[in-house]
Amino acid sequence: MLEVEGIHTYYGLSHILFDVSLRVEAGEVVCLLGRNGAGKTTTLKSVMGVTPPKRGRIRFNGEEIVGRPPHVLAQMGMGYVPDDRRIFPDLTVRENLEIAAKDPAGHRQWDRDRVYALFPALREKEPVKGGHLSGGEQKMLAIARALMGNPELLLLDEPMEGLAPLLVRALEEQVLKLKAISLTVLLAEQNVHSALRLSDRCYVIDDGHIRFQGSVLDLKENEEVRRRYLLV
Amino acid sequence: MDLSVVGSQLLVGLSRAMILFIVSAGLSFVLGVLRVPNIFHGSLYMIGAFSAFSIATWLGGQSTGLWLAMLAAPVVAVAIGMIVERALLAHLYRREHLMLILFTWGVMLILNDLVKLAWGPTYRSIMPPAALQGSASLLGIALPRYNLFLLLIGPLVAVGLWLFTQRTRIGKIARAAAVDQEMVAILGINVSRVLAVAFLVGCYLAGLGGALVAPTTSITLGMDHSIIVDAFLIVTIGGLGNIWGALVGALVFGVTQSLGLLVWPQFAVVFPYLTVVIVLLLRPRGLLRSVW
Ligand SMILES: Nc1ncnc2c1ncn2[C@@H]1O[C@H](COP(=O)(O)OP(=O)(O)OP(=O)(O)O)[C@@H](O)[C@H]1O
Ligand SMILES: [Mg+2]
Repeated sequence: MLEVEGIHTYYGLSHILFDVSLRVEAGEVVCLLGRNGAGKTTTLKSVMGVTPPKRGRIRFNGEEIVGRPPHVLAQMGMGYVPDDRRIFPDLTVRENLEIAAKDPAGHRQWDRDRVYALFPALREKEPVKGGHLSGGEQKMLAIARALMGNPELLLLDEPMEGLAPLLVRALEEQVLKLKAISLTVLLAEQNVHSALRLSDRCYVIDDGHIRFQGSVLDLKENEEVRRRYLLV
Repeated sequence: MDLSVVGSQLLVGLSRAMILFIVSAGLSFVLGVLRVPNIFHGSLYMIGAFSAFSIATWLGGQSTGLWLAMLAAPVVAVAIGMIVERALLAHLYRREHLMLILFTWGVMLILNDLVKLAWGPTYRSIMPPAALQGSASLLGIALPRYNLFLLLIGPLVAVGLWLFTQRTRIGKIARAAAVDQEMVAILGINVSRVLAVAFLVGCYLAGLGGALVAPTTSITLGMDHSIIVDAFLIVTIGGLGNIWGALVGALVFGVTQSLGLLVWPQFAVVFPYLTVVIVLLLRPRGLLRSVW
């Protein structure tokens, strides 16, 4: 579904991603692991067209997408949950969801009722302004908002970051539910344990280079990689 | 002093404030959503007024013609504003504010010359439609019918704008885009189109203000300068980007102007500006919440 081949991404003059390649097949949950500043967010932003790579290719469902603006990619079926949530503070929970509603493929899996079923806490907060939600609620809203766009591929940037352990568990449950309905997910994570519980395969990124790729089992057995790049 | 004189002066002030509100609300909306301090907003107001004159004259100056002119003149302002937006401004949104001020100021100068070419330097005037001529009484105070009409239109525009931003999808998206355009794009929305619609609303309000003011004043070159200064002050004291702030600011401005005429006629013009200074000393970010 997604093929990233040798991309190089820059912020201005600073070279951040070096020859990053990865693939995500339909129905997979693939995890991109790495510590702070490794380049996880930059990779997701490159895929979403927010920071387009200077070199390399990205294909989505077989189509070359480098250079297309984010709104076109979203229309093609990508959804993105940024690590800093970016909820619209002046819009209510309901309005945040309403403006995100779209159905590019025309099979309407997600609507407000279904995302409320996934995150019951949001239903109670429906008339509350996004800016007045707690951090955890905003996280849920950011995921719910992305789902309202009925994406084929969901790019999740550290959804567990900064959440209480109990909430992390709850959110993991929700992500597993998404997996069960075979939504394709590319998940950026620092939290190795969560990531390993959720994903089928993983990539380890460090300093803008992909250092490891393999199945969850491979990574579990590879002490060396985990010690060198993941601090666990 | 006769109370009914004060009352009628107050009502005249309020009705004049309605025009200031309509123009300022447009300016404030564009400032809030697009982050563009649009200096040529005043030119669109002037074009609205001149167009009202020309359309009314062209249609024979009768009552129907005058009504149609009120409806059509803002459309002329919208057409001109949107040509500038699509051709030039749309490519400049990400530039810094100084650049945008210089650019929209340049457009103001150009539009000013075009108005001079199209209408010449002479004064123009039109009558209100027959139904709005003469005077009526409100709360026992005699008031020109046209001012009463303005007192009705102002709140209608306020409610209309409120419904647009709160109840329509595009209005909600515009509020989201005011805070985070990139995130709006990530949701699959073509932000450029949303900004164009928001700009269109601003142009319409400028043109509508011009069309509404036309029967109350002499239509002339230079209208653009005076309104844009007042509108920026109103938007500033009200709170940048806040529509209700524009209403409050316009009321403060319009009422102090007309009451100043009673108290000290020779210096009446300074009263609203003095009020602005006092408001900004007390509340530098404006009376209501600024979106900036
Ligand atoms: N806007 C920016 N301008 C310049 N450099 C940036 C910018 N954003 C990130 N960087 C740099 O790019 C590198 C990769 O950052 P990135 O945000 O992709 O890391 P990350 O893996 O997501 O880290 P974290 O776990 O902290 O979110 C870092 O060295 C960071 O300093
Ligand atoms: Mg990150």
